[in-house]
Amino acid sequence: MNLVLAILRGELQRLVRDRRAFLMAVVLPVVLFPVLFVLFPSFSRMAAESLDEEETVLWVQLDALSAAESARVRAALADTESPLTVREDHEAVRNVETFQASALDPAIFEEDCDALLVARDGSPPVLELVVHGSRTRSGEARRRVTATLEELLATDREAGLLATLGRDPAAPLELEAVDVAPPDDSLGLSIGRMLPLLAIFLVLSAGSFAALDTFAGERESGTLETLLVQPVPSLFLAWGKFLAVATIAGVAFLLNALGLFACAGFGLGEFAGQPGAVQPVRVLLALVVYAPTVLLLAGVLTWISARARSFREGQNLLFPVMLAAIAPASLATQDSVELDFLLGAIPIAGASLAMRDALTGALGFGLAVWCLAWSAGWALLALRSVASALDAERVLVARAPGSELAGDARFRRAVAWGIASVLLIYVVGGRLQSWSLSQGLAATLWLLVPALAFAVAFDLRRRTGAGLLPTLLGPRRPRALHIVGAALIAPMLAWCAIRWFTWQETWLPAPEAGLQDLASEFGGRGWQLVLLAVSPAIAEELLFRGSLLRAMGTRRPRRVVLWQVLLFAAVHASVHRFAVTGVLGGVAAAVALVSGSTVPAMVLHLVYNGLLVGLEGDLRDSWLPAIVGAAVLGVGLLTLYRPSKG
Amino acid sequence: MTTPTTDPIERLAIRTEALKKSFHDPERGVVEAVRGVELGCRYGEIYGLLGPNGAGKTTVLRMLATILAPSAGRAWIDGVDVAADPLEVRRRLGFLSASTGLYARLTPRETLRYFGTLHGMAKPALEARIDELIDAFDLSKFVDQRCEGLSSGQKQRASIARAVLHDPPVLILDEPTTGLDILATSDMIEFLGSRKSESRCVLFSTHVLSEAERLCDRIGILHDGRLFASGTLAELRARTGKTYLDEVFQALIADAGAPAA
Repeated sequence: MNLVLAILRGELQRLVRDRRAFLMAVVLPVVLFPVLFVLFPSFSRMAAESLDEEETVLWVQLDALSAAESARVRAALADTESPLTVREDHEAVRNVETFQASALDPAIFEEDCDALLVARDGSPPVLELVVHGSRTRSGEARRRVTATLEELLATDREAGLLATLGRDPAAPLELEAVDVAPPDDSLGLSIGRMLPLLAIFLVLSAGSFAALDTFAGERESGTLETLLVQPVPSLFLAWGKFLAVATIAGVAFLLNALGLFACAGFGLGEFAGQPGAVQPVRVLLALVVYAPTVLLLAGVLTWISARARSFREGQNLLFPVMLAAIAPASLATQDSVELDFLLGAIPIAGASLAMRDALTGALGFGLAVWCLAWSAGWALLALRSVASALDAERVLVARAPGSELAGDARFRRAVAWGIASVLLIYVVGGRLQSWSLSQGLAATLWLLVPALAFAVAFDLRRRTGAGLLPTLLGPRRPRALHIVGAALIAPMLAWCAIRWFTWQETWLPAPEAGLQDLASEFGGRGWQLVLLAVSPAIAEELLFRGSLLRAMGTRRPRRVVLWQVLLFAAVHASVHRFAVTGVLGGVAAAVALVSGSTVPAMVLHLVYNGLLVGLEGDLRDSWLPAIVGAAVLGVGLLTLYRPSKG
Repeated sequence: MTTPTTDPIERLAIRTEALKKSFHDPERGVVEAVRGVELGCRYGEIYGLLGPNGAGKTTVLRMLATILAPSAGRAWIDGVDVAADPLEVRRRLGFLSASTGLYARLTPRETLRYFGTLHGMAKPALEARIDELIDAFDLSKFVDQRCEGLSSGQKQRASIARAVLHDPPVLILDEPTTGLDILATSDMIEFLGSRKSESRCVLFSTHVLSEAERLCDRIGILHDGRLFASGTLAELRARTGKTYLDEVFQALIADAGAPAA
């Protein structure tokens, strides 16, 4: 423990002396909210005030109005508080009959003209306001004229209705909403909406800087090798560094929260008119439920930065993590999203919602414990990965020039192929399907995807001498038990997918057609099954669980499965199907890895899609015991009969 | 700090037995960086490991320093098996890599304190040792300045002080004079001589033949992962019939059938 603390002290000593780390961990979190709430609005107000004082020139041509109407419009325009100069007889609108705004020379707005107001004959007469939208003064003139005339028209309308009917028939009732929430509940909600999302930004930016400095930075400067020769177990080194990252991230989070509470206390920005303080117990509870998430993020940052060869590569690797973390945190900004036991189990999302609810006083004891337990569980998983972050051989040798492990280079190439394939399928497949959905999908699945699978396989053969068929179909002949096992797992996956879609609909409604809706566009059931079940099962599996999976190698199966999840989810190009297709990709990859063959993965995919299309999603809950039983048997068949190595 | 063992088998400060290391290279497949190196260095001896770039010098030193695990074979530092007890080996070893390995934002004094703590040195003993090293390596003028502002010579002196902070019986230096000016190189050579006189073992790699000729008691010629010549300069001269080390080196490399770097 003393050694871990010594390393932590050393890391922090170096980090706090770095201006950039200090800026990210201390200065930015402290000043962020005051800047957001005070300075930016002040600048914006100053700019608006400056524009308010600016003279704008409006040319009017109101001959089409009656004398009384024309006089009222002129009087209203002359009464505006803003400096609006009204002029008449502009040469561009002298002849109203032939005037066309679209034919107007925009150059007139460069001179003494910001807007033109032209009255046209009609019943009622039309007032046409012509402005130059990209010019600030012209936009300001539009705002002033529109506001003045709308007020004039509203007054006229109201007066007319009152005179003829005695009241406005379009507004039979008046609605008044009264909010009786205690001020600290409202304040807690305001803070709870903002804090989780902004905390993610700050924790990740401050933590990623610390993580990169303690790993990739040390590798670049050559101090990591020196450190690894000290009589300290690499686990202790990793823990010391992780704690430094977590400390920096935690400080950034706390200071950020402090800045927000201070703004609330002083009634700045969003909190103008409702200054106050959230109850300390709520604040404490919010910090407690969010603390494991800070550890989780620090663990992920540590793990990733330990794998980066350089600071720059680390930044590139961390960028997607930041993007991925923002999505679940942003749920807290949505009032319509309520924390429940399922959301509470999702990393970042559960903690963000729990923090929001804690600040409003709406977080129940059970949900608080549930969210805390799940967050702590996720954090522990991340901490487990930290333990392997500093394997000296991998960290130094795998990264040394000319001594890179073949597996890593091969894996990166396979991932590059995967990303390129996904992009090509987006571009080419998307274009084909925009012409004709069914024929385009057939062309994509029968031509484009197999062509990509063969291209990856040819590349692998050129580089390693691997055979085409073993690459596409796996190195082993498929065993019947594995095929049966894969088929038995599929109903469980399909059932989960259907339930997921149902639940997802409550917080992320799908605007697009589901698989069943899509199926209805493809004519008869036989054709649907061919196009939506058989073809994807063959083509997609050849590419993803065939060529790409074999190109990735089997040295680090978890990494392979993770990338299979990401690539397979990405290729379906749908936020709504991302989770479901990702899970299918991951399970199919695991099946292909366990069985050593692509064929069981094809069968899994075929049965899964077949059930969704053929039964139109009607997998009844009463079937669940049979479905679970089949899945358990399937997993058993796949794992008990594993091919021997060699 | 640790007294050398008297066991005749383990009397050597550094010993390797059929040491091998293989890597996978994306272009070349499996590359044998070190192929069965047999090495023995005594206490009170400076052993120079010579070889062209890519000969496997750094890999051998990293295996001895327990950074890399040997693919095959064994190695001992001060009688301790590097694979069986790497932490104990690190306690008996001072290691200086080709880069200075100093933290830019720490001062030399803070660096010494940090690494002394990692070696488990008690504070009073550590402070006394730091004062001793400040005198020995003439660090007083810059010991409280951040390392990022030091000259290359000052950095190297601070690095050496860091490497010998725990007074190890064995010192391994990887290309210690790379990038140093004449004065700093001279300081380094003087330091290596002092370690020898204190009965410590120094193993260093270099491709600067004049340094090896001037300093080393024995020299090992490493090429293509193999140690195919080892002995005193006189023995190597006798073997090749050449007078100067550069000629000896050229002849031995030529015998191995490859051009010198």
